[in-house]
Amino acid sequence: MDTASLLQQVIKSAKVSVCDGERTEFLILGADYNYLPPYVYYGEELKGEPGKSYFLQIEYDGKILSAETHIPQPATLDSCWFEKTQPSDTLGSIYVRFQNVPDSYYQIATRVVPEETVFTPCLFANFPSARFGKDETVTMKLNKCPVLFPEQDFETAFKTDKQVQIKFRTQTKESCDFWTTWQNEILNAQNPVFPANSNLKSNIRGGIGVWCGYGTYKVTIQTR
Amino acid sequence: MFQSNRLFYILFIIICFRGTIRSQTNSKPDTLASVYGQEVIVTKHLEKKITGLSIGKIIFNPESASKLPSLFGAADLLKMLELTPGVQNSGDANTNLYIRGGDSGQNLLLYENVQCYTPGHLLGFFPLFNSDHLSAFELNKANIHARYGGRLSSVINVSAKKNIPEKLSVRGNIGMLASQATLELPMGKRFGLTISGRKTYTELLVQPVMDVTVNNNAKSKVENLDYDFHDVNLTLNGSLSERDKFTVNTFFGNDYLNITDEDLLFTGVMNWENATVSAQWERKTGENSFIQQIYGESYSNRLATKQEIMNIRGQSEIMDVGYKNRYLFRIEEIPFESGLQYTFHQIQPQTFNDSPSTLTAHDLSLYGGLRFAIAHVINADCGLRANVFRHDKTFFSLEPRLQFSYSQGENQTFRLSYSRQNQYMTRLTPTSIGFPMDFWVAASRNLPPQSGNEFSAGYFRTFKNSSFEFSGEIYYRNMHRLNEYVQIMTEMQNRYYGENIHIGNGRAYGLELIVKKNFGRLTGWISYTLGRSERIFEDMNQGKVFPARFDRRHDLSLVASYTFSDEWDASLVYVYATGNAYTLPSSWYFIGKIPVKEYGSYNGARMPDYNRTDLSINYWYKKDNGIIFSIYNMFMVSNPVYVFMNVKQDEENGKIKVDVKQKRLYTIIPSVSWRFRF
Repeated sequence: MDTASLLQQVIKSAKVSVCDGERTEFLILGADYNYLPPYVYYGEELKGEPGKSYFLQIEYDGKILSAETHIPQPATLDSCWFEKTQPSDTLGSIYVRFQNVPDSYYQIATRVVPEETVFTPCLFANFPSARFGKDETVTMKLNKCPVLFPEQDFETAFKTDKQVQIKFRTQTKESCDFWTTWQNEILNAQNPVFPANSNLKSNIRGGIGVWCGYGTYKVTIQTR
Repeated sequence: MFQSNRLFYILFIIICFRGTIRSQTNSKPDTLASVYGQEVIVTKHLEKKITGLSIGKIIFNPESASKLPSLFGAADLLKMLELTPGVQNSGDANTNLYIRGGDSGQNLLLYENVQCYTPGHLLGFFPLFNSDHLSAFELNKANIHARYGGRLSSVINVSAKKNIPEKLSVRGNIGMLASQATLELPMGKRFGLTISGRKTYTELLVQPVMDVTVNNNAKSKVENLDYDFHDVNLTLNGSLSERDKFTVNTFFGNDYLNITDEDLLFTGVMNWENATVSAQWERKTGENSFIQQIYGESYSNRLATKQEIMNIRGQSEIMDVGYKNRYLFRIEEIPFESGLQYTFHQIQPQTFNDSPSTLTAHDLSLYGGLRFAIAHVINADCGLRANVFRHDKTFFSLEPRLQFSYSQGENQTFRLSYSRQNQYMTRLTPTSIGFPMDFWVAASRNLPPQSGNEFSAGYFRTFKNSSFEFSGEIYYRNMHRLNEYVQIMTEMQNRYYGENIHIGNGRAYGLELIVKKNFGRLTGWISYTLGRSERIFEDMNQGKVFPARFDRRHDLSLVASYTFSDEWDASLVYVYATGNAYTLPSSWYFIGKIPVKEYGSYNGARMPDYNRTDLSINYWYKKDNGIIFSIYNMFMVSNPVYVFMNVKQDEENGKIKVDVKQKRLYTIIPSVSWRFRF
């Protein structure tokens, strides 16, 4: 299949609406070359706010898909830093430190600017707060995820002399489940011992994918 | 910690057993009574390779099966079971047996009546146990006696040698892939010791042979497979008096696998270990027998894998210690058997951290059974088993076992049987291709025990003075609260293993046929099974019925041995089986710029059909001494062990395409071994 025939498969005339319980907005199809296929449905009125719930409905060819989600309150990073093993290294690691908030589900995503245009969740950085003790101070090394696939010999460390934006996100359990299975698919689709052979967990009734919003804390770091 | 526990159990058994010997050495001997039970069948049909077809079971005798193809130089009796009806071929990498549509963890594997958790050896051509150390190998897939319980599918009972050797002897074989030796040592007239050991060295010869033989299609083989194992058996038989016999048995095995697949950037190291020790004392009084046994068993596995940045280390362990007895007696010439069995389980389920949790469970059973004749032509075998299992909740169950057989003359038998089984220890299988990373867990509030009912009917007939035998059986089995274990690697650190268990029901049914030729220059059998094994889980496959992973529509085996002279004979084995079921992606979609698979119907796709032919030519220059030439998979048929798919972009035209790869472990493997006996 070439790119042209791939684009022909995209549904461009679905009726997509988002509701926050009070207002409903119908989304418009637009082009966005940060995604494949390069289309997004977007709106201009409703903005996601922590503590509120949002409902999605998609109608096409007599079928209706629906989902709902909640944006949790954001958590904050206490600090983040970049480390190299040797001063002459061209690669290094980014570490983050935060205070664990009970009953949370976290995700840490990064974007190297300007070459990357979207944030991508780091590998193994999608986890519940239950993994750590209550009020524990957590220090975590970030592993960079491939942003384009197939990408051979991708590097999980970060290059030096780059500006890296970090988003420390809180999310719902459904969102955490989705991104965990997404990472499993990336990492283990070809693992002969523990193969990934089940679908990504979705919270969209009648569909695939995820409908979620994040409580976000954003920080930028220079890798030097 | 576990090593020291294991030593403790072994010492405990030895001390207990010494106490037993001391207390019985002054007893007066009684007359030797006849043996109740199926052991009689073994000696009666010693010249046949398999026996027991008429009563829903199969018994292999290692001596008479020695001429069949074997890379190891000695017959693999467990693998030979796969050549009989109702036992599905499991493929090359798989170490498990699948019987009458049941899962592999539903088979009760006993070594000298002690539960063995060992999953066996990889590659498909290494015998599970050292055949030189064995006296019989029995598979019971219907009419399971009330003395056996705890598994839904079948019972495989492996017996070590029972005789006290008359003279010192050494037997064994030295081969290209492995060597083994068995020492039989008389210790006076009343005691005898048998010690056996095996060691493989596949890294020396298999890998070079594989490289030579598969060079023309190197892309489809698993690179750098390094697999080896060693094991030791020890049996001490003693006769304290005419009526008192004792046996001490130990078995220890260790397997090691290192696998690298450069295509997948994957390396994995696996190690699994099994240890069994038991002491049995049998006292006969007239026609009655009282048999007691204490035992310990442990099984553990460890895993370390790396794929790109994904590093995983996991382990699991299970240890049992227990006591069982059997009382065999007659009332008005009707044979009865009753007994008690108790096992204490200590379980460490799969863990991926340094502080594993350990669970304990208690397993107690009482049973009774009798055999009697109705109107001279109908025999009835009846039994009842009561189980109590305690973990975080107490479970109780009753299991009736019934069989009626009608004999018409000496040549024909019809049989109807029913048995109910409950299974409180569950094996969870995280890997879909049969690598032995399974682990055991106990029934609990969250994981209810499995149960099942099996109904079967069979017809057996002999022709021409038992030169030919025919057996046909149909069976139906329903199974409740089965499990499917779907493990997500990236969740291992975050999730309790119980969250990955899906619970549902299943059923299996089929037709089994076998025709055997027992005597003459040409002997052997043709076996065919038409079967179906289905599962239905509310939360899987949209609640629709799907096939079990080792569902086989067709399973055909041909085994033939031809004796040219006293010195030369040859054997051939042919196997054909429907491919394993697996889950195939039905479509791809994109998250960001990364393609993600959407899987189709669960187990809705099939691996290619399994097809293999083995040949063995044996030259015997003296009794039990000879050279064995074997070729495994002589027609070099590629039998993949797993299939994977990936989305690739064509470098020339930029088109996106699905790349399908089938991975196999090996094709042809030749072997020469020297078999000896002094």
